[in-house]
This record gives sequence, C-alpha cells and structure tokens, in this order.
Amino acid sequence: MPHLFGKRHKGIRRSTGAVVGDFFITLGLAAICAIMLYPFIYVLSAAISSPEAIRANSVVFGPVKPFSLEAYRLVFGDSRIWIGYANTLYYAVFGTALNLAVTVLAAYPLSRRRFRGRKVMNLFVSITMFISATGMMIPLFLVVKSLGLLDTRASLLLAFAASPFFIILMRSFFETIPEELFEVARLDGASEWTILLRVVLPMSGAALATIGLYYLINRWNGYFWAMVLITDPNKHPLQVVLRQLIVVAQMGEELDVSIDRAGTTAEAIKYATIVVSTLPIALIYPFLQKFFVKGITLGSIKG
Amino acid sequence: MRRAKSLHDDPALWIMLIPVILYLLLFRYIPISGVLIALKRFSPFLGFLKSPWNGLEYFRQFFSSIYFERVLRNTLVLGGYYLAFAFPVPIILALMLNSVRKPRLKKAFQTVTLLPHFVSFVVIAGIAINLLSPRTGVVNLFRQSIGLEPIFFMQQQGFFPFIYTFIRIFKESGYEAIVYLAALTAIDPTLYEAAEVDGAGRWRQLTAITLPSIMPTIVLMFLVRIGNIVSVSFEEVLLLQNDVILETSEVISTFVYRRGLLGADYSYATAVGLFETVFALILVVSSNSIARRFKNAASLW
Repeated sequence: MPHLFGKRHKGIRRSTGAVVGDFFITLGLAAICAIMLYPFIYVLSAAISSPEAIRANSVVFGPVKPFSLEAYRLVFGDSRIWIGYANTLYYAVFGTALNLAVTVLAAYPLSRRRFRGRKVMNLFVSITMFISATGMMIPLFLVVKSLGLLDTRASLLLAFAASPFFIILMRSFFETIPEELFEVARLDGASEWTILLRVVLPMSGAALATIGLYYLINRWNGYFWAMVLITDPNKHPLQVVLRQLIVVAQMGEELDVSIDRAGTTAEAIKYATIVVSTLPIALIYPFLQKFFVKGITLGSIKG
Repeated sequence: MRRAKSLHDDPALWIMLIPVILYLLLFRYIPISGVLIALKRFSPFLGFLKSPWNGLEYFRQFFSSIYFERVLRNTLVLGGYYLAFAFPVPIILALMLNSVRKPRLKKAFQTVTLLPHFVSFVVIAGIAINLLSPRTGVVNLFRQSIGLEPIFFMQQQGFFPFIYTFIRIFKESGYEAIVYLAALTAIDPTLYEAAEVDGAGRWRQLTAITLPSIMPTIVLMFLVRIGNIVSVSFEEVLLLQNDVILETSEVISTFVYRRGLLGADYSYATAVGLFETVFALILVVSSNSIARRFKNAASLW
C-alpha cells in the first residue's frame, strides 16, 4: 500500500514537520530541566546571598548582591555541622566498604553454577526481600536494642551490612562471566579465593562501581535509621542534623507565628549546609552515570 | 561429573558465605520471627519469651479504631495518585529523551533529570517546605505579586497528596525513565528505516513501532507499581507531614513509627506492621503472577 505514495530515497532531507517537532521536544526537555534545576539554583543563590536579602524575600532566581560567604564561615564554624559531616564520612566510607565486602562474598558463591549450596542459599537470601520495611521496623529495632547496640555507630553499620537485592544484582553480574574462565583457572590450580580476587573482581569494575554507588548514596542520604537507633548527637550523621535544621525548625517556625525569625544568619546557614552536604554526591554521579544506567537495566531484565 | 561437582563444593565458598549468613540471621530472620510479639503483650522488662500471649487482641484493637480506616485510605490514596499521575511521566520523558538526536545534548538532559534522585529526602523535603512557605516561599510570593492571598500549603489537609505526588514525580521521574530508555534503544532501527521508506510520519512511527515495542515494559512496570502500592515512600512522607495534617498524611508505615518507636507501643505497632506486610505480600504475589503470565504471553506474540 504505502508504495503508492511514490518513491522515497534514503537520506533525503528531513521534512519541515520533523524539524519543528525536534525543536519543540528539545524545548520541552529544556523546560523540564529548568524545573528540575530551579530548587537547586534557588538554594545555591540563597547560600551566597547576604542574609538580609533572604530575609527581605528578594532571592527568587540567582544570587542577590552583595554576595556573602558569611554563611559558609558560620557553617564551618558550627560544631554540629562539622561533627555531622565527620560522622557521615565515617558511615559512608566504612558502611560502603562493609556493604561491598559482604555483597561480593555472598554473590560469588551464589553465582557458581556447580556450588552445591547454591539453590538453598539463593532462597535464603532472596526470601528476605519479601518482608516489607514497615513490618520489620519494630522487630529490627528491638533486636538492635537487645543486642545492646542502641546508640552505637556499629548499629548503623551492622544492621544494614548488605542488601539482599544488591546481592542478587551482583550475582547476576558475576553470572555473565563465561564459565570457561573458571575452568581454566581451576586447571591452573587457583583456589576459589584466587579466582574471586584475581579473575572475577578485575572483570567487575562496572558492577562494583554501580552497586558501590547505590550503597554510598544510601549511606550518605539515609536519615531514618540513624535517627531511630542513635540518640547521641555526637554520633549523628549530617542528614539527621539537616533534618533538625531545615525540616523540623522550619515547620516549627511556621506553625508558631509568635516566634520571630530566629535571626537572619540561621536562615543562611540552612542553605549553606544543604550545599555542602549535597555537593559531593552531585559531583560524583555524572561520572558514574554510565555504569549506573547499565546497572538498572541489568537489574530490570533479571528482576 | 561427580568429580567435577565435588571439585566445586569447596569449603572456601561456604566460608565466603559466613558474613551474609550471620547478617541475615541476626538482622533479618530473627526480626521476622520477632513479629510474634504482635500476638503478645510485650513488655521490655519481661522480654520476648516471658511476655504473656495476647492472641489477636492488638489486631482487633487496630481494625476497630478510627486509625485503621484513616491510614489505609491515606496509603491507598498516595499509592493511587502515584500510579495515576506519576506513572506516565517517566514514559513520556524517555520518549522525549530518545528522540533527541545529538548524543551530548541527550546525555546533558539525562544528567539533569537524574539529579533529584541523588539528593537526599531531607534536602528535597526541606526545600519543598521552604518554597511553599506562606511568608517566604517563592510560590506564595508569586501568588501575592499577582494579587492572590498566600496559601499555607503544608497546613491544609487537601494539599498533602498532591504535594507528595509532585515531589515524587520531581525526584524519581528521571530515574524511572532509564528502564524505558533501555527498552527504546533495544528497538531494531531498521524498523524505522522501513517505515520512513514507506512514508510513515513521526506520529505514525510512534504509534505503530515505538509504543507497541515498549508496551511489554510499560505493562510490567505498571504491575510492579501495583504490587508496591502499599509501600509508599515512607521516609519522604514522614519528613513532609506535620501534626496539623495527619488526617491526610498519616500512612500505615508512619503510624507504625509513631505508635511503635515514638510511643513504645511495640506489640500494637508490630501488629499493624504485620497487617501491612501481609497486605503488601498479597498484592506483590498476585501482581507478580499476572506479570509472569503476561511475560509468557508476550513471548508468544
């Protein structure tokens, strides 16, 4: 049927309609991106504007002169924020390292096709994914409590030592490695540990980067369990401090009209803290984006 | 064959599994068995074993309280809004991103739309509360500049589901678009070439090639979402809600947190959590079985 419309040549110039369509799609995406970026532009602007400008509501888009780095000086002088930052670094570094170690050690045997315990251990790991986070909330808290781990840094590290989902994801990555490689390594007399460290891990850079990034972000951004398990402010990660600073304090102010703004600088500190807490992740992820996208795709196919 | 099998049944593999076995036993399996305290009148002083049995009393209490209807309704409303309003957004976004011809521009757009996914709930909620503030929020400054009265968004019951849904769309659309983008890049480009040769326009290509090709992915994702409808993004709800709007913002999980961890009413809260788990499990299992059937059917097409 369509041949009736005459001959078409490959590589002809695209029609005006297609060009106009492209233009509008690009415009639409630019608009979506503007909306996505706006809140962050607002925060960045407020964080370098003078506290007076924020108070006078003149920060709407872009920083308002006179620029002021006063807020940053205050942020870096505020011990709560320093301690929070140090704790976050601690949880992020040791937490992610522990997560990756447990995940790799679990995923490797599960991926070995002739491992006798493979079936039962796969079941042992994946069955735990079916219990909802809500159902686990109280029992998990009580277990941590009865182990005497409440209010310790170890509680956060150990209670979330690995995610069954990421173990299964890592296993799927390992399963894509050709079986012959294992056979060859075994014939050369390599032990399972040598195969894991010398053969499998060097080939799994993308997988380690992806899953490591997932874990890192969970550690960096998590607030709930840190808030529940740890009461000592000296052990709180930055997100718990931030919650106090920008969510609880803010709502408190608004609900109680009688309170006057708690000083102009408090306002500026808020924005500067958001910036210093978010910047590290915002700078890392574009470089890992490629791996990250690959990881989700694999997960969705296997899942 | 038998030799090959025993060859791989290396104790080293079991040693590698020790950490995960210990971890899952201690922090997953013991808590799972700990849900039995829902059937006991748990007292921290008596401990798990000595606390007296209490039957289904806490379930009866929950089902007959005003909270049951409220938290169930709010959970389903938030989940339903998410399904209705947020589900199509990543699909449209993926279609738009896929039609950008310049690879660098495409990557730049994708980087920006992914950004909110990497920012913490705390920061997103904080910024949202800030922008919606009646006195200093940009939204209300704009309303005032065109002569409208400022609205106290975070204190009005009706706004909460919309605010929550909008923030979820804002935060997760770019991330959820990735799955659809993967499905789009898997489409055989010769199909489009053939269509172009046949004189099919853009719209025709979309409806005749693109949408049918990604339809299995769309249906699968939809079923996954239905399975997760009860598991609303609890940490986000907790950050956005306040005492004034609990009537529309209290969901099952935040209720468990409030009663169990803030109120130390462990058994009652565990009973509510168990109810949620069972309800969610039924949804997940049934939507999974439909998905599996669908997958088989899809491979037959």
